[in-house]
Amino acid sequence: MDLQPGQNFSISKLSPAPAAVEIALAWEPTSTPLALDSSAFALTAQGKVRGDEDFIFYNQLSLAGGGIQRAGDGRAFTVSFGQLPAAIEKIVVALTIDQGRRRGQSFGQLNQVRAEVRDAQSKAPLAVFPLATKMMAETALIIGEFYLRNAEWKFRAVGQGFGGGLGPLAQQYGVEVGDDPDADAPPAAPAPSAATPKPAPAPPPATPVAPPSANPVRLEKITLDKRNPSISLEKKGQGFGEIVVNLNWHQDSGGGGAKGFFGRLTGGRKIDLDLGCLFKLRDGRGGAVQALGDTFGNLHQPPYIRLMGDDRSGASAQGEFLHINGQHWNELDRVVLFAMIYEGAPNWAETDAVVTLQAPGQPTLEIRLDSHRSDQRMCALALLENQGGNLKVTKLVEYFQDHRYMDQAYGFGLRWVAGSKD
Amino acid sequence: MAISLNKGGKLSLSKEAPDLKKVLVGLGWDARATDGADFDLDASAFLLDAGGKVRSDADFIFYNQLKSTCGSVQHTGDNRTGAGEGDDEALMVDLSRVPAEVQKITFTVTIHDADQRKQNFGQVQNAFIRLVNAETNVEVARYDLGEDASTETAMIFGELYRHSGEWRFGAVGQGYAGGLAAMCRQYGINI
Repeated sequence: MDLQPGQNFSISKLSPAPAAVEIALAWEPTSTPLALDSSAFALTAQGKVRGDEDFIFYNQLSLAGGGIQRAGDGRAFTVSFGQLPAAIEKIVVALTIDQGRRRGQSFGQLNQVRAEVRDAQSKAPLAVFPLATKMMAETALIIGEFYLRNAEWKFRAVGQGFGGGLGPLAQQYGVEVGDDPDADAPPAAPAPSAATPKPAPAPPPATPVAPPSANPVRLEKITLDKRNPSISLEKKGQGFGEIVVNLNWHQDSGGGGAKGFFGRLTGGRKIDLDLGCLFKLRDGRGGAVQALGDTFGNLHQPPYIRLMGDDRSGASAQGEFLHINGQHWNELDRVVLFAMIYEGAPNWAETDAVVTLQAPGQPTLEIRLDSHRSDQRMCALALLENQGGNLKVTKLVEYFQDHRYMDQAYGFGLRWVAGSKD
Repeated sequence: MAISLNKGGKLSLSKEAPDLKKVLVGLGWDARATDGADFDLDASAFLLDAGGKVRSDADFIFYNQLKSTCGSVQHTGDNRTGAGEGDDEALMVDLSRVPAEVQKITFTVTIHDADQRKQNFGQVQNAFIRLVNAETNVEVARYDLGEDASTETAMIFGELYRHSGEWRFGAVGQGYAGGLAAMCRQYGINI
């Protein structure tokens, strides 16, 4: 079933009625200079969020209770109706262009945005909403909404939005926005804000980030790219809190009947990426934290870095996590984060991988693997450096045959022996 | 206390509001919250005979013909955007002056330029129709159309009709494609 804007259909009346659905987002052309972000708003009967925790986006990946889950690559949301709080009667799903207005971008630069609603379990497609966006001046687009009507869950295709991006969209639903990266004027002092990078001569100096205010939801996200490869996060008081590094990637083709448009990976084959790091302490000791050789690290004693979980299947929708205990950042000298394709062909282009680094009270940093090779198993993602207590993050995305070459490239000087995950 | 009707619900006015002589029929919807072309919605009324047709074009009350020849139905004018509290558009009906041949007065809302602007009722929020006793200003009945609509561009919100010598009100919520023109053709208006 193809939906038009304004059209709705009943999910509860389907036979069998899905207990959970997922909405997958895609766009054409797939390769675009637009930095697209997805978000979901869980709303009460009044059409507002209960609080900022009902706003699911790149800085908050799920709704408490698990009723809404955002896929790590941001291209899908799973809604489990039975797990939603009773007060939630509507879930709005939106796509926004990061700093679109500032950069003079809009959805008019895409040909089409497309949403597919599927049964989360069987992956059977329930409806497709193809939206021609050629003429759209908006930078925030409400794709559709799941809503409760007479005790029945329905989905409506919307296809409307705002010219001012995520900020006005979030405010529409009652989310307090502390920092709107696409607002007309940069926020008043303290300045400068790292969200408004100025073109700088190469190599651009790392800009210190203004200390953020504690509460309202922070929209700020900084993508490290060619123009802006590094940033320095300023230490506040006792160093940093727990620094969470996430590696996520496009794990399969979306299954079900999805072809072409969603089938970015041929054959639905899964690629498993492993996240790890090389580290060097201030006292000169060094090593690796990785699943290989079961060196998962430790948060409370050196190296103060731990690889979380041991998801060898790569089945976790959230990808892989590595935590760094920021309280001990002063004992670390530098860290190189890396990803490895352990099995199968190292086709990095198909992974569409994204690294995010979040530290409490700091903007989310994002690094996209936007250059690819298919002949090397390892990719150095980012360099974290202790510079006078501050945390300087530099995008790398450089490929290596193995640990040894990577070690040499960044001068860690470790001793390497062959290892295995078991 | 106004009676809240669901789609298809009916109400006997002689029972629920025996004093009712002049009725204000208020229709409303929310203005578009998002950016883009406004929704311009128009309320109209059709005075229909026993065959469900108008007697002539004069029985079509809309933005270009605000009053019926008999004077029993009067449109209070167009609101271009739906902004403001309460009713967006209203029609006044003097039940005692409705000609005997008129069996039914249908209240419709259509989206102006819907096809060109690619708009439909699925995109209109919080639509309602309500009956108010114009003499006492007391609301008699209300029907919230809610989210019943989908891709329709014309909708019958409700109707006043004669039944066994009394007036009744029905909550209709029936939609059509084709906008006001299709609605007119259905009731026998020459356009």
